[in-house]
Amino acid sequence: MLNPSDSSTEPATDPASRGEVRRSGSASEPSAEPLRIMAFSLDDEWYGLEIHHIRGIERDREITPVPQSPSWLAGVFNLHGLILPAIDPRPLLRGSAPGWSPDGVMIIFQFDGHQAALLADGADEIYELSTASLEPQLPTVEPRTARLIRGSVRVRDRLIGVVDLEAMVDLLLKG
Amino acid sequence: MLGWWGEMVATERAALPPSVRLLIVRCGRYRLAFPSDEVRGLVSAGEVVPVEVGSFEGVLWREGGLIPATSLAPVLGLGGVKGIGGGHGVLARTDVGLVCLLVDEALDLVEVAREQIRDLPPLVVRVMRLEGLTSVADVEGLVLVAVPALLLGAKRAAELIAAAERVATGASTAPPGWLQ
Repeated sequence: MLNPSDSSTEPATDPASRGEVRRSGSASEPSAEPLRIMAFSLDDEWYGLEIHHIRGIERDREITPVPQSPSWLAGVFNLHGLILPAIDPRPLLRGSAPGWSPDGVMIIFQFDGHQAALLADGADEIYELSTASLEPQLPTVEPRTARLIRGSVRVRDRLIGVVDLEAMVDLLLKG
Repeated sequence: MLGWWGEMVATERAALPPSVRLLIVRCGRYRLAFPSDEVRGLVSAGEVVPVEVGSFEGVLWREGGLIPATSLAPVLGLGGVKGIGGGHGVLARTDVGLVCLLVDEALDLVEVAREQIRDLPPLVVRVMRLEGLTSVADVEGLVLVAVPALLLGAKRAAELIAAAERVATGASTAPPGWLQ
């Protein structure tokens, strides 16, 4: 299992693809706390997850569906003896129907004692940015979605929404 | 695979037995494991006589009485699955009597160590009444361990038993043998 948190100084070997660490924005500012995110895709949109929450990336795990579960819960799976929920973030972040493909990746994250997998189409590079480069959400973004996004960063031609994992886990626990 | 048929010998309920026998069934895309002491037996769904009244699929004649049969699919949130068709009926014990739960197929009867039944993760536990998860040889992925009576709910079980009793009352005036 890939552990992206090991790639703090060296380009990672393969965070689902190349996993290279790119510095962007104003990360060189000495006073700014760096924001290190892994970008992942959902259809044609890009999101970012702070890498200190990420425990690895998995593929090809059999997901067992759970009856009467909310749309975001794709099911559960066994990861080295741990039973973890597999979360399809589409209904949460895009307000769309679940649609994860088994060809995608499972980003294993941990937050506040909860470990789970976020199902994405693909995981891309790890970016190191400055917190100051985080732009607020546009007011046109739907409030339910907006509260799960800390803000957006522009990296090259991409607009990446940085996921607020605390808000997301809180939402998942409260339903 | 399934190496037995018909009535299952009920095991004695004991506090924290080291192992538990599980009946593995499939209903739609779900694979469920019922503890064998919660199940009276297993029948072919073909034995169920369709009944055109009430919100259940049919009745089963057993031990001098009628047992209501209902599909497990709606209980699991599977829409559009109704009718007896093929498959199996699980004779589930409830507080008010036996209820036949129709499933697509019975897959296996296995014995697993109790410690092999794992708790559900906190993000899943509130979804519905499930006792845990386990993995079983020859069955891909995880299996959801559930007590059928709890899945069905006491109210629904009581409704089904009452409906079957009404059918039985009606049957007493029907031509002999119509339900055999």
